[in-house]
Amino acid sequence: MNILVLIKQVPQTEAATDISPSGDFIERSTVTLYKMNRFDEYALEEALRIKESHSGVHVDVMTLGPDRAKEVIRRAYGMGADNGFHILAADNEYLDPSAVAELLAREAAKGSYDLIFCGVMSEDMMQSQTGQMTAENLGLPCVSSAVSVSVDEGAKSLRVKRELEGGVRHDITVSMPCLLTIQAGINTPRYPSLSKVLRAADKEVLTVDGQGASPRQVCSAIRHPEKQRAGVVVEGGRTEKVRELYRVLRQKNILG
Amino acid sequence: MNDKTLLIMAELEDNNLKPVTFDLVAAALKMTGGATRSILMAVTGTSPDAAASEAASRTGIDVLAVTVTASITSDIRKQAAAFVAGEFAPSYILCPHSAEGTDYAPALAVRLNAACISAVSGVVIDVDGNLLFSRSICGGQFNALIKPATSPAVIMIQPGAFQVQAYEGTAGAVETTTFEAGPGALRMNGVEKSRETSSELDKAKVIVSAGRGIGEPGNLDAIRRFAALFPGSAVGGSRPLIDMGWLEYRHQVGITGATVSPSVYIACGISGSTQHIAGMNGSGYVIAINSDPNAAIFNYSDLCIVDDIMGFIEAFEDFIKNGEG
Repeated sequence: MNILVLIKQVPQTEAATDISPSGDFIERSTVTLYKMNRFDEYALEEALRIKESHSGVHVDVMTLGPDRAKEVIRRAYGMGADNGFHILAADNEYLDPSAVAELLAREAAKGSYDLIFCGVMSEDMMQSQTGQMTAENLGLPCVSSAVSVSVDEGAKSLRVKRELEGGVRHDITVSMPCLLTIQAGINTPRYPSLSKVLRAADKEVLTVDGQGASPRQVCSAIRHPEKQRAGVVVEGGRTEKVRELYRVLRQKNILG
Repeated sequence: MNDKTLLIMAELEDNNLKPVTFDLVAAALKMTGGATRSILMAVTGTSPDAAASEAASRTGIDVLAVTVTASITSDIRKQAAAFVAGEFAPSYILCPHSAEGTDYAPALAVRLNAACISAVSGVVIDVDGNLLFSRSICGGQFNALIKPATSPAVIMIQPGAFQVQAYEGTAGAVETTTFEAGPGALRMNGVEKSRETSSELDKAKVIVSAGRGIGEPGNLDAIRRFAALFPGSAVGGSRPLIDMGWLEYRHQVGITGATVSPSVYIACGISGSTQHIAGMNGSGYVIAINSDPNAAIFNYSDLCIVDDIMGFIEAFEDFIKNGEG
């Protein structure tokens, strides 16, 4: 059985990002630390658990992004992934999810995958679209927001629970091949192991050019969100802040 | 019904309208400047007629009731949505950014070669008269204004983002149609009802909520001590804490957890993702404590304290202990 996990590199924190000088996207040249998207870590962990509990399972990973995005493939190798593919895309540019999904599907179609996993969304762009669109491009059934997955190899099917609002869950059977988007909390993602990291040091990452997809939407501008409440910032040092909070809570009569 | 340029996809549960349907109506009216004439709502279900009539009378919008001849799983929903969109060739198709909407709408967009803009929380008209759709990115730190380059475009509306107005005018017209579903790839085995959320959160006058900014699970003790200073308080948490197992599900505040409205909500080390904000924005007074001055939570707060959360709580406790200075 072959599993492909779609992973994305995102900034470690958004604190260092700002609106780009042109105003039409965010500036990330100030960002120095990147990581694997948290939701994709859950997806990769779920794939690795299937690999460990069944025989003959291969887990590949694929990412789309600028040159630095290869770092998440290295991390995936450290966690136990077998092969990594990198689709080279521009940096500091708004990526249309339709175009991303088209490129991912084009490359994924070159393999023979029984299962494709990805995170339920990315932490930075929060689209919740890439997996569903990739599945549709490949003509595969898709179950989004999976919180439990069990594989029935004989029946070539999966039993999946997907999460809806307020903790409601749908219990679904889907035949393979298929794509699942994985919700956070399904497992506890492992840290890369030193031995795997060392073994993967010389391992190749296959890079292909991410050209030829046509975007269907453009980012016109980036704005700071408007304040929806008073947003009074307490000035001064910690003592002043403590006093002000005390004063406000006292006034609201909620201190015991 | 051929003059319709804007198609709303209602969301149903057991053939009843879900409240998010009216959020879509509010967004559609924002797009048309208040006119209902160019809007059509599709109410799709195994027995949708009653919900369709209700929608028409509560909104004044013309409604198409689409009866689906099979039990509706997400792949059948995609087929039905593509069928309706194909009948009317609208410029915009509005779907909810809900668990159901995010499941089918991106795939619908692929089928229609359409742009898909998700989690839309605002509509802006640019100098050339184009509609731009505002969506929150980077954990709520920025809004991106997105312009679709296709017609139709699929627009997914963030629940709770648009002001829903009551309607008391004439009911819209209702027409009916039937969709013969093809074979589906999914089989539904059953539905597990919602997990128990905390009645403590519902009843609490004050909620002290913790987010990833508290650093480590051991620091929850300080959060609990802080909460204990306020009679009738409860401890809440943002989703990542529950995912990491630091707090139990019944403490979760947000779209996939509890929706709360205490008199005072104190957000400790919470960044302020849209999914969390949706669960607490009805609170009376919001206080946020976060070390990142750009954290999105401050846009939804009455009082903003930029400080290290653990150091601040310790100082606050000392202040109380030492007789309030």
